[in-house]
Formats: sequence, structure tokens, C-alpha cells
Amino acid sequence: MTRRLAVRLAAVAAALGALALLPLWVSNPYVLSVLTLAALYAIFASSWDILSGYIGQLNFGHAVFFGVGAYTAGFLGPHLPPLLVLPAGSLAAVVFAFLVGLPCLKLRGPYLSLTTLVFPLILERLAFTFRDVTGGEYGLRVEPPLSGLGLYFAALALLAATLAVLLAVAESRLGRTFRAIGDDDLAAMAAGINTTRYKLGAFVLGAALAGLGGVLYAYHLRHVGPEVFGLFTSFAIVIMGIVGGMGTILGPAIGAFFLTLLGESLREIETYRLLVYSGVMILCVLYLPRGLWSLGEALPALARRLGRAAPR
Amino acid sequence: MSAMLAVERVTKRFRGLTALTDVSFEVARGEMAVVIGPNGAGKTTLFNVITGFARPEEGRVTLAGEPLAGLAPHAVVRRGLARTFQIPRPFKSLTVGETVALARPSAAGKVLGAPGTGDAERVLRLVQLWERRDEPAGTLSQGDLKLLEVARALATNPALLLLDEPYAGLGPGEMARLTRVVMDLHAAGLTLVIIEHKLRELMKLTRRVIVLHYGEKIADGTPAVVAREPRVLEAYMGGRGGMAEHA
Repeated sequence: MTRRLAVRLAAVAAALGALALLPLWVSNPYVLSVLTLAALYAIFASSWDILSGYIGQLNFGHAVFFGVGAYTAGFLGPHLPPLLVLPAGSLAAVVFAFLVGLPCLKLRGPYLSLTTLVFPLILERLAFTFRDVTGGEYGLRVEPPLSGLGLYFAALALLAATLAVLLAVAESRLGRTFRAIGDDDLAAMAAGINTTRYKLGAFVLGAALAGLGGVLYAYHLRHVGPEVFGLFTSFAIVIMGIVGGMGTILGPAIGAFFLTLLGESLREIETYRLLVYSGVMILCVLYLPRGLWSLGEALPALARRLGRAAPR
Repeated sequence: MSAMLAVERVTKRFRGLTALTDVSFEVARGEMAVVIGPNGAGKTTLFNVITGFARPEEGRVTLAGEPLAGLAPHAVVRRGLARTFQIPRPFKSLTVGETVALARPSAAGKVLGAPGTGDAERVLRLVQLWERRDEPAGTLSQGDLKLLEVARALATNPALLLLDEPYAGLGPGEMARLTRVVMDLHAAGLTLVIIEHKLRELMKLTRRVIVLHYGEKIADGTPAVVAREPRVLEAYMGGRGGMAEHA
């Protein structure tokens, strides 16, 4: 294990440990519910990052994967024990990763991103079309096996596992291969790397984790409907990733917490949430191009500079 | 079976433009061939066709007798045919050492022994970048980037290495360094095909020059023979395009 990986895992353990202890002092169910949602978005945004941030193929359709996971909870929840619904949601998302990935991933550059934008919209339409199964615009009621504090802990545990897996991948030879493809895919081919296969691998890995999160997302909402495939959901993930700092795994997770909490604190202007998100993203792109994550690198540097300046 | 590389009647068109017309040549095992020609002669297109980055409309390419038709670029590399790019394409978020360690070695190669852990070091020492192994690839000088291109290609353990204008953009000291590397590889028995403008640098090294002009092979032989070829003189000295500065 590299030092950097150890430091980051320790930071994740500390941050999520603190969140896990929070209910000792804060018992307000609304606060816990918001934090649960933030943790779920953090799962989506960090699992999005492996393809989008590392390989550099901006995926506008990540909602496909957690949406499929959520619908799986809706379909199978009444028939399967909860511990089987989670892997089923993940598996369903992986199946869709192949369905979307195989035709798309041979595309290079912006074409892949544009294509990924279309798939959630197709699924949204299908949810309306097959209303006997999906409940159409009303969606499906989901009876959650966990709620409140239990669901909060489950979301934190899944987030911890997701971040640990993704960080371990990112710091491995596999992660370096992803970064190399993101840097220059022609050069990666010239180094003997099968870029299509690795792109598909990143797609599948991200989908598997997002599918797990999608099941908990349905439990959290107690409902799943076609809006999960809506444009807002897909863009929200992209914005969280960019605001947090792409290609860092932890950055998008931080972005998810930041924007979810910001969104909730501005609840009165709910309608304008996407506007607020976009505004924050534009500010980030202009003044903090590598996202909130880079604050973590900028602050120590600033402190060192102040520290050097002080003795004089 | 003596030819390491055989290019057989290759024609490549882009829309209306014919970039390569019926080009054929062979490169023997252990040989060093230099491909020259004025800008736009089709040299890089030839490399792209050989390495699977572009598909020819007609003709075929074989490596040690095995046809490469339809293979993706990475699969061509796994067969033992590596290339560099004219303008370096570094992995900016990796270090020099990580770049070389990432290359997938073929089983066909001449440069490395059996795939093993010492390969990255051997390759980096060969191009004199071992001391810079922990530096980010993006921060290297132009000359070092060119050598890193060579190192990354060598790390795929090729039997045949294609170098696309390795001397372009190098200072005199860097040129000498690259020439040493090329001579070492040649001496080690690696088959080399080099695209180059800097003839003076290479005429000392090679006994085989292939001249392309407007997508056609117009000469093929020793430097002395090629230099006397009337069509070469016309292409470089006179007539169309004024290419005298390359000679």
C-alpha cells in the first residue's frame, strides 16, 4: 500500500467515523435524512469519477446505473430478502453498463459523452411506456427494510466501502492505466493497452458501485420513479464531480456533500436548485478549476508560505 | 521468412486524396531502414498503416510472416511491433518510471529478456532517463520527452521498432545521445525503421534508405545509390515544391 493511499483511507475513516458518531449529539431526523442523501450522492459521484475523471470520458448518463439499481429495489424488494436486493441492483446496473458500454466505448472524444447523455432519457421514456411494470409516472412504492438511523449507517458503510475500493483501484496499476488512457489514448494504444476494454472496465466498476447505491436511494425515497433518469439527476452528478475535483475519487464525494447540503439549506428556492448548482460550478471552473479538492492542496501551501513569512 | 517486416502493395486513401500508392518493401531481421521524403510524402501515414492506427484500402503488412490486417493498434504492439510519435505524447499524470512500467510487453521481443521486474530500469538506463524516473513525464524537456517515447516503445519489448522523426526538435547534444541509443539498439539486433529529415545524422548509421514522394516509393537502396537516383534529386532539389532544405 502506498503512503498516499494509506493517508487517504485514514482520512475517509476519520471523516465517515465522525459522521457515524454524529447521531450521539444530533437526533434531528431531518438532518440525518439529508446526510443520508448526501452520502448516497457521494457514492454516485465517486463511482462516476473513475470513468469521467480518470479516463476523461465525461459520462452524462451515470443516472442509468443508480436508476436501474433503484428500480431493481422497486421490482424485487417485495420478493427477495433485502440482502439479496443489493447485489441484484448492482448486477442489473452492470448488465446495463455492458448494454450501454459495448456500442459506445469504441467512440472517442466527445461522441461518447454525447451518447451517454441519451441513455437515461431512453430509460425515462421506457418507464413511461411500460407503465404496467414500472408504474409509469407514479413509479413504484418501495418498502424499505431500513430507515432512519439504520439507513443512515448503511449509507455511510456503503460509502466507506465504495471509497475504499475506488481509492485502492486509483492508486494501483489499473488506476495508472486509466489515467494514461485519459492523458492520451493513442499513446496508451501504442503502449499495448487495450483502451476499449479498460474503458468498459471503468464503466462496469462505476456501475456496480452506483447500482448498490441506487438500491439504498430507493429505500431512502421509499419510492422510485422515472425522474431518477431525468436530466437534473444526471447533470447533478456531473456538477458534483466537477465542483469537488475530478480524477481524485474523494473530490466528487466532497462535492456531493457540499452541494447536497447547500441545496437543502436553500430549500425555499427548490425550483432554482439546478441554477444554484450550475452557478457554483461556473464559479469553480473559473476560480478553482481543480475543484474543492484542490483547496486541500492550496491550504497547506498557503500555510507554509505564511509560516515562512512570519519569522521575518 | 527472413523479412521481419513486409509491406505489400499498400494503398491508402483519405476521401479523394491518395496518401500511399502501391507501396512495397521488406525490412530484414536486424536491419535498420530509414524512410525519407519531403513533407506530405506519406511517411507518417505509412507508419500508421503498419501499426494498425490506419487501415489500408489495398495491400497488406506482415510482421515476421504473420499478417497484421485488422488488428487494433494495441494488438499490433502485443505482436512485437512498437512505434513512437513524431510529436511526443507523454502520459502527463504519470512519472517517467510509471510510464515505462505501464507498457504491456510482447512476447516477441529482442530488447528485453523474459518479462520481468528489471525491465523498466533497463529501458530507462538505456535512454539515460533512469535518474529522472520519479519526475512527472509532463515536466521533461523536449529531448527527454523524445527519449521517453523511445523508452515507452522499448518497454513493450518489440521485435521491430518504428521511430517517427526521432531527431526533430533536438539540440546537438540530445541528437548525439539519441544516435547512441539507436546504435545500441541496432547492435543488439533490434530491427528498426526510422522516418527522418535529418539525413546527415543517419547517413552515417544506415545502409538502407527508402524514399517516398507523393505517396509513392521512388527509390530504395544504400544512401549512395539513392542519392544518385534522378527522381530523388528532382524531388529534393528541383521542380515541385522546392524541398532543397531537406537534403
